[in-house]
Amino acid sequence: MDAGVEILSVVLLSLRVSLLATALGALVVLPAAFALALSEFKGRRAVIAALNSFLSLPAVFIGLVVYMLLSRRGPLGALELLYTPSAMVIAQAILAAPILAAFFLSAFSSLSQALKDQILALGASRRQLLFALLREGRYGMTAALVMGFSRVLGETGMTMMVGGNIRGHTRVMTTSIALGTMKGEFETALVLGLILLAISLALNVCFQFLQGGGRRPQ
Amino acid sequence: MKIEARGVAYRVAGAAVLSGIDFAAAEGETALLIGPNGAGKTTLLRILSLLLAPSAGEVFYDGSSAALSAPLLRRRISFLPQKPVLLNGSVSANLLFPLRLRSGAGREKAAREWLSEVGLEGKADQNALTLSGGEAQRLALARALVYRPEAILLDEPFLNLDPLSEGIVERIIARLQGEKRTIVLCLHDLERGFAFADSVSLIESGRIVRKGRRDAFLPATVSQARFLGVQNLFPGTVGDEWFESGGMRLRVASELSGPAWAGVGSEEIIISLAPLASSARNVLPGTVVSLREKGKLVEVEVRAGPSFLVLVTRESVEELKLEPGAPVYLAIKTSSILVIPA
Repeated sequence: MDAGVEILSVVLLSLRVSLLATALGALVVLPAAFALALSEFKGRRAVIAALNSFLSLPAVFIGLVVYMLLSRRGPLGALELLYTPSAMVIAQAILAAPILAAFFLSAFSSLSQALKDQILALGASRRQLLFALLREGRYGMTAALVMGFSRVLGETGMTMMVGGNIRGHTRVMTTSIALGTMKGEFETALVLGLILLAISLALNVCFQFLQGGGRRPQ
Repeated sequence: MKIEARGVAYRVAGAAVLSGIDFAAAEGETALLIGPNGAGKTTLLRILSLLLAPSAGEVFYDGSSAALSAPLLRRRISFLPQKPVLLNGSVSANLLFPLRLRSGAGREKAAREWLSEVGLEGKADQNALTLSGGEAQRLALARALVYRPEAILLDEPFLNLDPLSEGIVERIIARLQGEKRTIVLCLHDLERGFAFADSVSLIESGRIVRKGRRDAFLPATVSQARFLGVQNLFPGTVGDEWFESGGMRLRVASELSGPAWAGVGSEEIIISLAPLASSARNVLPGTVVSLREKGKLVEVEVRAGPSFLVLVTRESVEELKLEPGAPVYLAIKTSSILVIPA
């Protein structure tokens, strides 16, 4: 295979897997974070603290658990997902979820009671209130997605454990760089490393911009 | 649209914020809510706007209970909070927001009209969160009115406004009154409030302690009189339509007798260099003690037995050559003197 074509396919697979993983993670945690941010109940702070503790979940542990679940003798072995891009999506989604939850929570928590009152006072129904609040939190929400995507895109060890780094099938930027380094093939590794760096920097700029745009003046 | 609260109470963690509130704003009427800070005016306004459920009692719209139809009723009324809460979007997106919640044509036209009504026509595409305080308040008011609500509840609409914005808001309220829409207004500025109001309710510590038509609204206690800005208050005795305090005797129009307070607003007293031949029954000789500028007016302290505070214009100060030590006469009509039982 032509080296340029191979690099391109590796980059595209990386982006596809990490985008899907971020979307899957967001789909699961967004409703929960929204409800948690806008509700008042006893023990709410404890729930938030527990959620935040998942932020320190080691990626390699997630890799181990997903591997055991998907391996031939594991409970989900019949699905034959191990060493497929789907396995990588699942593991990365689990890794992204706590990060997404924490940032979503902070985005929605900045929406005040006064804002809810005002939207209702202008005649919004419950459903219209929900959409209006989601819209108000759009900058924070997008920032959360950027942060989650950026984290999983750079993940190596866990992705290799469940994806297997199979050429043309599950090889992504990070695993390709790791392999190139071990084999002493620095040229391809360096090219991919620079592409990854550029994407990360661009995402960081996006994140900073969104954080600024979403902030309500005090 | 008639708005009523019957027996409304509101408690937070066992502490009463409001209790036993009976309030009504008739169709097309402007009802003024006044009271010191923390009296519960904003809470009552939020309950009347159906944003807060009362702990006891009920709110009625046009005679029927509002509890079950709150979401539908909220679409027909409008509540303007003290501090404007704008959406993170353009000025015109903010104006269109309540219109997009409803079906109907002519949204853009209505939004454009209100934009120029509140003097923001050049700022349609600007982010609303970057507006100045006065512009934000004007936008919030326009947004609260753009869908033609039948009743409007305004919480301190003049707070922190520059004179230009004040003028615009005043004109809009006057226009709403002309259109006979029901208005409930919370205001600190009593003079302006009384100018707008048909009826007045005074709230103290979560209770309505006084209510009445504007022209017949008089304080019942000395503390209410102080809150309403009656500057000159004297303790004494009243009987046979005369009030006595120290050596001072005032002719009053009161059938009370016994210990009482007499109160006169500082703008109700006429100051002159010679005794006036006028209908004022009380003419007191006195001496100017001090002068103090109060906005466009001057507050003159005159010792005439007790000390009186009198508001006059700068022109009067110059024409009468008022200065400390100058001898003057004060004229007070009997109808201007408020007699409150002690």
